[in-house]
Order: sequence, then structure tokens, then C-alpha cells
Amino acid sequence: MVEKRKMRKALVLGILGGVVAVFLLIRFFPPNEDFNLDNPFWNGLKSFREETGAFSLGQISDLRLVPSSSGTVLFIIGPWGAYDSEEVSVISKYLKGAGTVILAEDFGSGNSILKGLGLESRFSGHLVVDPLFRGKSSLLAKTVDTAGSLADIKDLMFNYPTSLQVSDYGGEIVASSSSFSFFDDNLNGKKEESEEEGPFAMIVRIPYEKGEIYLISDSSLFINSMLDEAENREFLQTIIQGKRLFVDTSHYPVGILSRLRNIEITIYEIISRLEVRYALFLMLVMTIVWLRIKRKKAGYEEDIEGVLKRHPEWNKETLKQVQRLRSRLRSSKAGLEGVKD
Amino acid sequence: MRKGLILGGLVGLSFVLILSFLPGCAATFPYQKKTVEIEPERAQVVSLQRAGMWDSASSYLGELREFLANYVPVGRNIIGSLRQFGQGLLEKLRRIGGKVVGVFKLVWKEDGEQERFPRHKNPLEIREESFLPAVLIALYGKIVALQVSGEWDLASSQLKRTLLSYIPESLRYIFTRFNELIQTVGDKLKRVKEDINVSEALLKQGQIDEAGEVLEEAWETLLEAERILDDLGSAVDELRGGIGASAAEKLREEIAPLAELAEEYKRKIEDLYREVKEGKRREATFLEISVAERKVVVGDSLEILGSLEREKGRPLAEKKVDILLEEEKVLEVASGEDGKFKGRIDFPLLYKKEVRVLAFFVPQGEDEEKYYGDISNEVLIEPIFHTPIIKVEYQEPVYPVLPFEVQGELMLQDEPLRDYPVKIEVEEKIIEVSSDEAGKFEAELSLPSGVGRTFPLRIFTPSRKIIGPASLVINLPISYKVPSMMVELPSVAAPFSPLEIKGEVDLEGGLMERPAVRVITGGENITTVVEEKSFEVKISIPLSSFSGWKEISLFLYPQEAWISSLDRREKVLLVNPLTLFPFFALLAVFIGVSRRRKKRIKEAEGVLEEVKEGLPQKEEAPEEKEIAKLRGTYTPIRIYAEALDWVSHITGTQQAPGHTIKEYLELIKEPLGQRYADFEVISLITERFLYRLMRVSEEELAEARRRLSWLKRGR
Repeated sequence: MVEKRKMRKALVLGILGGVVAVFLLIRFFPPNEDFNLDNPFWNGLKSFREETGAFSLGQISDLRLVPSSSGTVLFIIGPWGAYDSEEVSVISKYLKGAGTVILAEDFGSGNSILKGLGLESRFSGHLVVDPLFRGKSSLLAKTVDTAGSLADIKDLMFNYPTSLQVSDYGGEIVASSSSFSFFDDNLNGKKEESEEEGPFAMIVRIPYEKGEIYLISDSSLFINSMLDEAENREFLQTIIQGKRLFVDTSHYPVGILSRLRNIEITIYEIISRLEVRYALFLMLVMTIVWLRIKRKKAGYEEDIEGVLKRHPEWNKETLKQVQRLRSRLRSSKAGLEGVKD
Repeated sequence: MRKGLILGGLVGLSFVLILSFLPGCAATFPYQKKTVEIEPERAQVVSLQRAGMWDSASSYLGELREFLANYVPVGRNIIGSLRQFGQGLLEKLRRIGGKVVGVFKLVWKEDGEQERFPRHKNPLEIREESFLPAVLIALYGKIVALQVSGEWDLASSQLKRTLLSYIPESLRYIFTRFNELIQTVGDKLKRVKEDINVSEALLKQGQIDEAGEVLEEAWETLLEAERILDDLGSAVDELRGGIGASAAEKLREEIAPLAELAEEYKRKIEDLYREVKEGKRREATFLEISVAERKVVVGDSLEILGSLEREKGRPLAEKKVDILLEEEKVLEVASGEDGKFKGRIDFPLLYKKEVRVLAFFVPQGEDEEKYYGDISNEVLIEPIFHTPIIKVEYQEPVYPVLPFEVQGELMLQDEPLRDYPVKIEVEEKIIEVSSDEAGKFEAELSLPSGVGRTFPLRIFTPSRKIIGPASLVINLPISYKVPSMMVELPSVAAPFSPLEIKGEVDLEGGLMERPAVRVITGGENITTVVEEKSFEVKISIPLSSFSGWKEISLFLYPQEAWISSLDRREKVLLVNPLTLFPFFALLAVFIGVSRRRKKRIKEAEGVLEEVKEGLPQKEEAPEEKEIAKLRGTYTPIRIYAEALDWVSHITGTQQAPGHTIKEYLELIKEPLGQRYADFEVISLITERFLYRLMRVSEEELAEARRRLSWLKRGR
């Protein structure tokens, strides 16, 4: 019976220990969400961050704290969820102050920003494939015609891109797909009559008041696995030109790992509060003391049980009394020292 | 315990496994781009060998060997193998999970639901598509069509682009060579075409021998081009193994127009050469023009003189000649009997440094067969006009929106330019003023808000007859008035009363119209308006707030565009008794427990002290009777405990909690030797006292003490 109880206790403790250990390990496990600036996997932006030293903006309103938009670039890469009017007004103010916005988007909520800014250009939402100018698959379409500020770039490789519908005055197409590209909305890899043919506008530069906005028809151009393809890295360097970079991370979904990590951080923040920290320390000390007393008590019980097994004729109550006396004597060692003399 | 821990570890592992199945969690650990798949490469070599392309297969195999020699596979070590195995397993399970989810989605897909494309896929996981040469061949067709239509440069740039297309590594070399050949044959044919044009021109000018020489060179170049066309055919043969027979035939068809073009040039050279042999030619013409004055006042007129002659200086009479000014036809004249002509044109209001004038003779009708046309020499005319000088001064500092004055002066040839319009451009608005008798002008301007640190102000004057336009751009440095903000707030705050922040806002030498103040602290964000230079904000502190330093940020936003915004950061110590209460309660419990423990020890010590003295001090209360009883009992036990300490020290054998007094006696009998008898007496007295509940007499106690003394010091 006692053995079983012990085993159960150990099992519960083991499971608790295991879960706590994994929970703590999660803190050190890198994030794996799309476009996460710390994600070292294929779909992350860690290389991008290392290359550019970009700052993450957890809230787009933090842009207000930037003293001057001039000489800075705001990257909005593959946002999820629409931008509300307040967020768009922050972006608009940033652009008016001579800032540069790079909106890299395909099938997300980028059009809500364009609409909010009063621009007519849109991300088409059609999937662009190119059977000729491509990587190993036509889904990895390339742009082969560049102009304006990108004239020195030969080719760029995209990953599941869409195209751009340019309707704004002054909008300049700086990169377009080849005439072999087409919309493959049914994903069968074949050009059908109903599917529109290229060339399509893939990167567009639109002046906006004193600033400018670049629309890139793919959100994945700068992810770790794509940055070294074709001349994507050179393109990045061309558009940033040593400017200070901000990345809007307020519109990314948070995965379970990151959620857990955030919970850990919150717990840590709570624990680091003055009252909680010291209360926990006190509780820990008290628990240790209590456990020690309990263990001692349990040890005495076991001893008495053992003695009674060997001498069943002895009185249990007397033994308990003796045990109590012995323990008291042990704890008053100092007193005994005095008595010796 | 150990088993439990192992089980716990297993639970942890399963937790990680569950996480691995979540979407977006890649099975591959930190991104590694380099992979090698041997099987497709091997198949490629075999297919090249089967197609009889032994050289290509051999060189490809060599490259592959070299790559493999430098490649260290992941699975070479145990950890690598395990990782590979784990990743493979996870990947398979994830794919199965994905398929199951896909089936569910398919079953429960709502009507009209839009298919959503993924944002991206891992390039390593995207399956490599087979090479479809048809599209590339079509592109070659377009390039050849450009070459045939004479758009050599465009064709050349398109040809370079073909190498940006997807071509398998095994075929890339052959296609690169193929491109070189197309480029070379294009260059040769282009040169042939140029030579044909030159020889035609020479023939027109009667230089028959020279034309013959050029045609011979063109013939040589054409023969070289034909040889390259043969090589091109061989390259297509070589590609047959890689792209298939039908695709190769299609490619041959697409490049066939190049051979047809070469054939056409051949015929053209032969025709021209025949003309050279026959000595056929038209007569050349010579057109020249001149002007009486090279400097002309704008708006004035200009007389142009000229002559039209044919070979050997003979005049060409009654022929039409076109006069062009800056690429635009402005006059048509006819040559006289002596071949000379003249005409007068109105010189336009062109405020440029130089204006070009030239003439054209284009033979018409019967003349087309008799004469070649000619373009005259170019005559450069210098228009005469005066540009005013604009001088501008402005009143500093310049603030946005606030009006400021601009004064200026217009000078022309060191004289004031009177009553002349001056335009000042402020963003999209243009303000018009006029210079006075002294050539001076002034205007009150107001810049828009949000202009930054500098503003480009453009001042310009329009042209008027001999007076040309003038403009001046000055970059105005923009200043902003800096307000001040004094903030008053308590150094300590608590949740029961709101945190009061008071402040005063001032602008030196000016007033601010109800500026806004935003206070941000933690989750609170309060905006208030400054009334009569002061503001007050009350922030309620939630009861759940923790104690500690609280940062408060204050931002001042003036309404006026000419006043800059301001920000301040302050700190307040927040003390929350509610959140501190559990801590103090715990502390109290802790102190209480430790005090009680100390008290109990002290009590025991007191009892022992009294026992040592051996005297009861006072009348015992009922509850003290129990203590007194204990006092009596302590004496033999104390002696036994002291003896026990000593014996365990001497023998090195401790009395375990489970040992009875007799069991311990048995244990130390031998190691204790002669002193055993003394310890035995003490033990027996103690045992009788403890287990048989008998009181110990004074004699027995004296005996026990004596024995203890002997035990420790010897008899």
C-alpha cells in the first residue's frame, strides 16, 4: 500500500517535472511562425534582421515615437487582418514626413492599407506562375524586366506571388514578370484561355506626398529560404540604402510556441514584482521547513511500526512518548551541553 | 521515483511531438539550403548516355563526382542519422495529418468559398518541375524574329535573358553554347547588313570601286555566318537527347529564318555586285546654307541664304528646298537658275543659348531616278535676349503658417527692372506681385503646416519680348517655437487615491491655443487640454497594480503648426498595500513559527537547567505538574543520552532510530570492551524507567551518574 502511494507520488512529481522542464525549454526554442524576425527556419526573417538590423514594431502606433520619418524605411511584410483607420493614419503621417514604406504582400490584408491611404493600386490576388523564367518550379516565378531604381537588378525570385494592378498617378512599375507568366488560379500549372497572360507588374513605386511606397507582390521575397535566391539580397540592399529599418510585426498571427513563450515572459514579469518575489521566497522557505518536519514525523512513525513488529508486546503509546522525548532532547542539544558540567 | 521521472520525461517529449504537428512548424531544424539528391542526377547521366551524348554525360559525371567528394552527408554520424530519421518520421506524420485535414476541408467546404493560396512554401519541399523546352523554344523563335526584322540590340538583350530561365544543369552548358552561336551569327548577319547599306550608299555617290570592296567583305562575313549556322544545327542535334526529338525539330524550325535571312543577304550582295560590274549610278547633290548674322534678337527675323549644286559644281535649278529650325520646318524655298536661294524667317521667342538651322533637299518625281538627296550644313544661331537678376531677402526666423515678409529686387543690365511681374510659388499656390519704380517688390507669405526643417521657395519672372525668363530657388530654414512644461507629481502613489499630475505649460513670448497633453502610463492613455497655461490629470491606479517604480510619459501637442511638440518622462513609486498584504501576512506567519520554535527550545533548555540544579522552585500549577513529571523523567534519560553520545563517539556506532536500548547494547558490546558494564547499568536503568514506567530512585540515579563518570574517565 505504502509502495503504491510512493509510486503514485513519484509519477505525479515526474510528470510535473517533465512539463515544467519542457515549459522552460520553450523559452529557448526559436519561434517558427511565418515572417517572425527571430525565426531561423526557412519561413522566418532572421537573416533579413541580421542583414538590416531592423527594429520590430509591436504596435504600428510606435511609429509616432520616431522623431523623423526621413531616412527610415517601414517594412510591412505579409500582414494578416485588416488595418484600422488609426493604424492607416499613422502610416499616412509617416509617409507624409518623407518616410519610405515597403509593402510586401500577396494574399493577405495589404489592400486594406492601400484603400486606407487613398491609393487606387491593388494586389490582384491572382497567383502568378511562370513556366519559363522560374526556379525549380513555376511557382517560384522570376521577374526579368526591371526599371528605374531597380535597373541594375537582373532578376528576382518570388514564392507564390500575386501581381499588382497599378492605377495611381505617378506609379512606376520597377519590376515586372515575363510575357510567359500567367494567372494560374486553379493551380493546374497550365495556361488556360480564361487565365490572363503576363507581363504583370510585380514591384511598383508610388510617390506619396513627400514619401514613397513600394508595393511588392510577394510577401516571401525576404524570408530566410528566399533571400539568397536570384538577386533578392541585392534588391533589399538597393531599396534600404543604409537607412534605419522598422518592421511592423503587429499583424502577425501568434503560434502556440510563441504564446507559451509570451505566457512565460508574463509569468516572469509577475514574479519579478517586489511583493510576489519575496512572498514566493518566504513560501519556499516555509514549505521546505514543513516538508522536513513532515518527513521526520513520518520517519518516527515508521520506526515505531518497525519496533512493534519485532516486539509486539510493547505499548505503542509509550513508544510514541519515548520518541517525542528523544526528539526534544535532540533539539535541545545546547541544553544538554550545559547539563554535562 | 526514478520511474516517475522517466514517465514525466516521456510526457514532456510527447508535448514537443504535439508541437511539431502544428502548422508552420517545420520538420527541418535550422534552415539548411544545401541538399543532395543523387537519384535524379544519376538518371540524368543515364539519359545523356542513352542519347549518345557521351561527352556531356562524362563531363556531367565528373562534376557530380567532384561535388560528392566535397559533400559530407548529414547521416555520417549517429546524431546526424538520428536527426535525419526523426525529421523524416515527423515529416511523414505531418504530411498524413495534412492530408486528413485536407479531406475534412474538402468534405466541409462551403459553396462559393474562395480558394486561398498559401503565402509561400519551403523551396526545399517544392517538387522540381520537369523541364518543358517548348516555352523556351518559343522564346528563341521571338529572338530570331527580332534579328530578322533588324532589331539586333533588342534581340541580343532578349537572348541574355534566356539564361535567366529555368534550364536543368545538364542542359545548361549546351544551351549556353547555343546562345553564343545565335549571338555570333546575329552579329555576323548584322555586319553583312551594315556592309550592304554602306555599299548602297557608296554606289549612290558613285564610289563604285569602294562599294565593290565592301561587298567582297560582306560576302566573306556571310560565308562565316553560314558556317556558324551549320554549327547551330549541330547544337540542335546535341540538344535532341536532352529535350526530345520533336522539341529539337521545333527548335530547328524556329531558327530557320536566320538561314533564310542569310540567303536573302546573299541575293542582295549578288544584285549589288552586278550593279558594281555594270557601273550604274545616280548623280549626287550638294546643299549648303548660310546666314548674314549669327546673332539674332528674339522675335526679330532672319535671312537664310543657300545653294544647291550637282556634281562638278553645276547648279541645280528650280528645286524645292526645306528650311528647318530646331527640327521644325519653317520655310520652303526654290532654287534659282544659278542654284541659289534665299528666304526670311521670323525668329521665334526662344530663350536658348543656341538655335540650329539646316536645310533638306529631297528629290521628287523624275528626280528620284536622277539625283540623290542631301542635307545641308548646320548653322548655329545665337538668340539675343536679356535675363533679369532676382535678389531676395526674407525676415528671419520663418515659422510654418505664420506670415513673413519677402523683399526682392529685379535688375536688368545693372538697371532696375520696373513694373515687371514677379511670381512666387508656395507649394501649389502662386502669388503674383510686380516690381515698383525702383525694381523692388515685396510680398507677405505664409508657408503650409508640416513643412519640416527646410522649404524650397521659388521666385520667377516670365519672359517678355527681349527679356528672357528668370528664376531663383531659396531653401528657407524653418524654425519652431519651443514651449516649456513644468510637471508636478507626488513621489509616492497608492491605489486608493488617484495619482494627480499637475503641470504648467508656457511659451516664451507667445501664447498657445489650448494645447493637448497626453499622459501615458502602463495601459492608461489620457489626453487633456491645457486651460490657462495649466493642466491637471488624475490617473486612477487599479487595485491590482503591483508596487514598484511606475514610468509616466507626458506629451505636449500644440495646435499651432509653428510650435514644436514636447515630451517628458517621470517616475513615481507605487506602493499597493493590497498586493503587499499577502507578503506581510506570510512574513508574520514565518516570524510566528520561528518564534514558537525558539520558545519551545528555550523551554526545554529551562527545564534542563532546572534539572541541573535539581530543585523544584515553586508550587506547581496543575498544568505544571506534567512538566514537573517530565523533569523527573528527564534525569535518567539525560544521563543515558550523554552516555549514548559518548559511546557512539568512541565506538563509531550510532544508535539508529529503530534500535531499542537492548539492541544497541548488543551492537556496542564488543567494541566498547571493559566499559560496557558501566554503559549496561545506565542503559538498564533507563530502559526500566522508559518501558516499564517505573520511577527511578535517587540511589539508582546516583549510580547512573557514577557509571557515566567512569564511562567517560575510567575507574
